[in-house]
Amino acid sequence: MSFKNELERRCFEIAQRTLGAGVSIEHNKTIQIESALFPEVASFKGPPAKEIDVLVAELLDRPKVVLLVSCKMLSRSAEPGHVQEWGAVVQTMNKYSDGRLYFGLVISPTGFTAGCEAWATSHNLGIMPPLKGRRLAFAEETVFRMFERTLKALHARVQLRFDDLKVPPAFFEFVYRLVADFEGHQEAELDGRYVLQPNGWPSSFGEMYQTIGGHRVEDLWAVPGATVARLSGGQFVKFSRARIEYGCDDELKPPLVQSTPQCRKNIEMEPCTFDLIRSATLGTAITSAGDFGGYLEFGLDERFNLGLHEAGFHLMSTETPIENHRL
Amino acid sequence: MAVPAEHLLLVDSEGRRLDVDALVDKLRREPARVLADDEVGLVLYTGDLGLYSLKPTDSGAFLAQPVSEISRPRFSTRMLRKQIGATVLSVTADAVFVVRDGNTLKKVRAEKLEPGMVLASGEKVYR
Repeated sequence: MSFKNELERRCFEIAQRTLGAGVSIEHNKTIQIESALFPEVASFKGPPAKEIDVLVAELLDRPKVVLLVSCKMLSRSAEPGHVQEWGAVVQTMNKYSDGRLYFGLVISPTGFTAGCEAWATSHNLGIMPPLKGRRLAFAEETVFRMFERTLKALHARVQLRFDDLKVPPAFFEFVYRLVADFEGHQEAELDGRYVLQPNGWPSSFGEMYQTIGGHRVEDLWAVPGATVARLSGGQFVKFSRARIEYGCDDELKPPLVQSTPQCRKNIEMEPCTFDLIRSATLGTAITSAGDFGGYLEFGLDERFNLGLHEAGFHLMSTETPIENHRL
Repeated sequence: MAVPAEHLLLVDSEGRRLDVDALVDKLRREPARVLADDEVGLVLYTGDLGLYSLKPTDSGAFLAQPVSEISRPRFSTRMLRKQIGATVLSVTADAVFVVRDGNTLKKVRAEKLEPGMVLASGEKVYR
């Protein structure tokens, strides 16, 4: 298999990894309609044919459903002409097919000019990255992730039903729905504060609380530059000021050599022992949470606030009157 | 945490209202329906279930549209409150609306919807 550029190679590898056999790249391929017994396609040179570079991915065997991908490696955004050309190819292949159904997709990591969308919707082509109505640049790596996500979803979708995708702009909209959400994801990725483990996915405060809320504190410890709370159900939270990791790790254990955490208690932040904090908090459940930048605070059993700092912990009672509930 | 582009009002083919969160939790346990479940979010196929999303109109009636997929992105852009026709909606800034522009239609992001615009459905944007 030869590739004209890196974009083709990466797209081919992704398609092959996602769909297995039935994926091919062809250069200067002369595609010809399958059924040429129509008066309107008769000419002195024979039926319509066009020389193209195409990534062909078979999505379904019976009946044949095929995705034709055009990989545009351009120094500037793709223009309506690029989309129109692919639209004409896919439309003609469908019109004179012998029962195969073709869907078309155009990938241009440098993006598309605004005029491309109307051509893509009317020709029912997917475009990647999506046009989102404002200046938005997606990293090339993100465009590859869009392609992989779309291929997986499309492969699953055509096993269930595909006839509804034939009517414009259903296929365009299907692809759009799969790739449009990368906008919010990209913003979260740039922030990078919350990380969901074990996948290392960017996350958010809301998702963190939804995951760990209600879980009981089973253990606390400190490591250089971070504090860790192991929670029931194999969950954990690790706070290191700029980064908060959380998620599931059944194997998580305190290191043999632990840092000595700096421990404080009450609103006045008086020094206290780590044993005091452990004895008050182990076994209690997380009932609220707050990210204060320099520390992460959990409400426990609606009785205590436990703070995770990068170098230690703090603990205070939330019961009133305060003077009667000092630790 | 999943955040839909706009809050869905879902009904089945007999018009019974469905709890979207409960439906999503139930359907995600059927692997064949899961089109995507990754760091970006969850997309479920619902084209065979006879589900409809309801959009209230000025007249007080509801416009039912078939729902072939339910998408639950893990992140969204910021949320906005918009009043369109008689309805006040919570939508994400990147939700797409189709508006009339003279004798043509064009797409507009929710964050660029302006009072006075008229949607393709005939509803007016108030704020």
